[in-house]
Amino acid sequence: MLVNRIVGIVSAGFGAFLLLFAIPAYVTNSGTLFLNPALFPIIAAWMLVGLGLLQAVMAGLDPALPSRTEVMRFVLIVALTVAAALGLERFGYLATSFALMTAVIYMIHERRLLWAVITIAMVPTGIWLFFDVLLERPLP
Amino acid sequence: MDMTTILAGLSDAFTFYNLLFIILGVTIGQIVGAIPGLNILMALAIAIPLTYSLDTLTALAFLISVNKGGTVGGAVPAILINTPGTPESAATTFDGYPMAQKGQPMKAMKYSLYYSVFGDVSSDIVLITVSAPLAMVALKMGPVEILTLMILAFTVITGLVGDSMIKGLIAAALGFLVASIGIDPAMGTPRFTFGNLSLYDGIPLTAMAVGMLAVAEIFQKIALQVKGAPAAATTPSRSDNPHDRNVTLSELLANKYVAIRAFFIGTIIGAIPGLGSATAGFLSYSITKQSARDPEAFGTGDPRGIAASEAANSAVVGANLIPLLTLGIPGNIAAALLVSAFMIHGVQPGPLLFETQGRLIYGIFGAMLIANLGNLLVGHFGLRFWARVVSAPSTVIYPASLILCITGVYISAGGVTGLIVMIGAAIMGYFMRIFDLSIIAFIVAFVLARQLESALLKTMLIFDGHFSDILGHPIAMFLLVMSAISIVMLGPKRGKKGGMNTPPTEKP
Repeated sequence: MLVNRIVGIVSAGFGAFLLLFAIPAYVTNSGTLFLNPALFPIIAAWMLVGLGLLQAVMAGLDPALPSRTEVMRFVLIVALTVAAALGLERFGYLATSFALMTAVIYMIHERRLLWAVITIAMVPTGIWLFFDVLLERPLP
Repeated sequence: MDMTTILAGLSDAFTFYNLLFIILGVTIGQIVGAIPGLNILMALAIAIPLTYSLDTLTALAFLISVNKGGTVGGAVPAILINTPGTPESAATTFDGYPMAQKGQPMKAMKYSLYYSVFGDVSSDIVLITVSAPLAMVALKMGPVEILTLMILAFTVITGLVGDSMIKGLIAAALGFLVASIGIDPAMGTPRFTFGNLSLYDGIPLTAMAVGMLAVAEIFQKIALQVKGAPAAATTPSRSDNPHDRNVTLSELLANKYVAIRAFFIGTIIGAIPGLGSATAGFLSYSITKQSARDPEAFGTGDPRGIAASEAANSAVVGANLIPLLTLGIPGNIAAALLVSAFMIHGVQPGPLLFETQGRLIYGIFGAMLIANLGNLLVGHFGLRFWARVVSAPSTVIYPASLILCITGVYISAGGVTGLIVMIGAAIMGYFMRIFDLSIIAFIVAFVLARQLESALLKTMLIFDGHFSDILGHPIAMFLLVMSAISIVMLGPKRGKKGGMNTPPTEKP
């Protein structure tokens, strides 16, 4: 129940943050009900507050949480993908893809040479040929 | 609608180019469905960016074909290795796998293919028959009725998906918030753009869908991959007896009532927003087993079990387009992804489509029927090959899918900004999965938010502060009462896990 209560409290807190800070700062509010750009976000924020509080009160069975190792590995794969996204235009599609695939293959413990070569070299090259050459959609 | 438009639309589907993409879509769908760990939604999310350069009919025909192919392909690993390739085939494992264990894997796969195509064709015919009249009724609805209809849709969807309606509505609220980023439809002022010009057009739907549905799943699978993961499962050996490899017409017809009932169940489930193919498969299997004279035969390789599951889960594919095409409301994620494909090509799904884009709609219907035939042909010749795909190592599948997502989003959703949105959506999707916040509710809310906000603003103008005027809108009142009933009926019962309506595989 604790995790579900936390989910509820965080949702309600996020809704309150939107109502008190984010919406006033980043959305024009005409102050009326009619043609008000802030009306829809305000409704969504109030939904979060109300439903979050309900969730905190009526918390059911908690979901199974991931292990610490899984979360660390998740952070690692996200970091690798962000690095690839940022490096795409600087280093080019093929170089970045080869590097990302090498890192991922190492991370998921694939040590069979044939499968590793297919993943690291052939998959990115095939995709590059398909988009850049066949469909003529330029990749960096 | 005049017959000329209908015939012109149907004939549009029969171009060589369209046929090529339909066969390609069906093939991709079957292969992806056959790979355990990949699912149709991932395939659809990845395929959407590939359709940018196609014309509208070809793009939609391709995506629908991927969806249809996936339902057939998903049964292959369910039968061969007792692992459903897609959630909708989970009930097929109950009798498909035991039949394969008896040395009849090809026979089981053929049963599955034929009943699947039967369910799919039948529900497409229902779709084609009922959608135009329903759309005509829907056209008579004004903004007030549309607003209340959407409220009803959200209460039903959030009540039926996941384990808690409250969490479903929280996910929907998050979807509304993310969709409100960009220029607002009322005054044209920026919302939550933080001065970033690239956010003025809002969050790109493709990047959001690919991130939440595909990349989040890939990240999770990669994060879970541990050293010494089990090798791919071995498939059962095949018998040399032709009887064990083929299905005769009389064998198929022996289960005709089971298949027809399964098709009805699948069509009804598919037409209700929020319920999916997995629910249809489980429900149909359960009803068939309970109503059988010899329920003990189920689970031992009984073809009735395969017929019940496959005809029902495939019947959902056509039926879930009924709320989309008649009301503009996507009933599940596959339909929501089709909405994004419609919108990418400048077409707003809904009842007006039959008036403004009648030819396109009937072109899509034609393509759906061709896709069923394609499913049959590709499945008939390809099943033995897809059986080998089952053993493809996940260590290749997930990295390859990741690089395909990156490439597709980079091309279609604004370069590096699109990629950052995709990664952000993937992180959000990962945590939503962990905390059981429904991704279906989020995506449907994200897709429908603009339409909902527009209906809300118009309703406010119509009422001009007099909210009691809603009493003059009997349909809207009826829909609001139905929403209240659905909250009462579906809300409190959803407090615990493992409910009948949500098989464990129904997520995201």
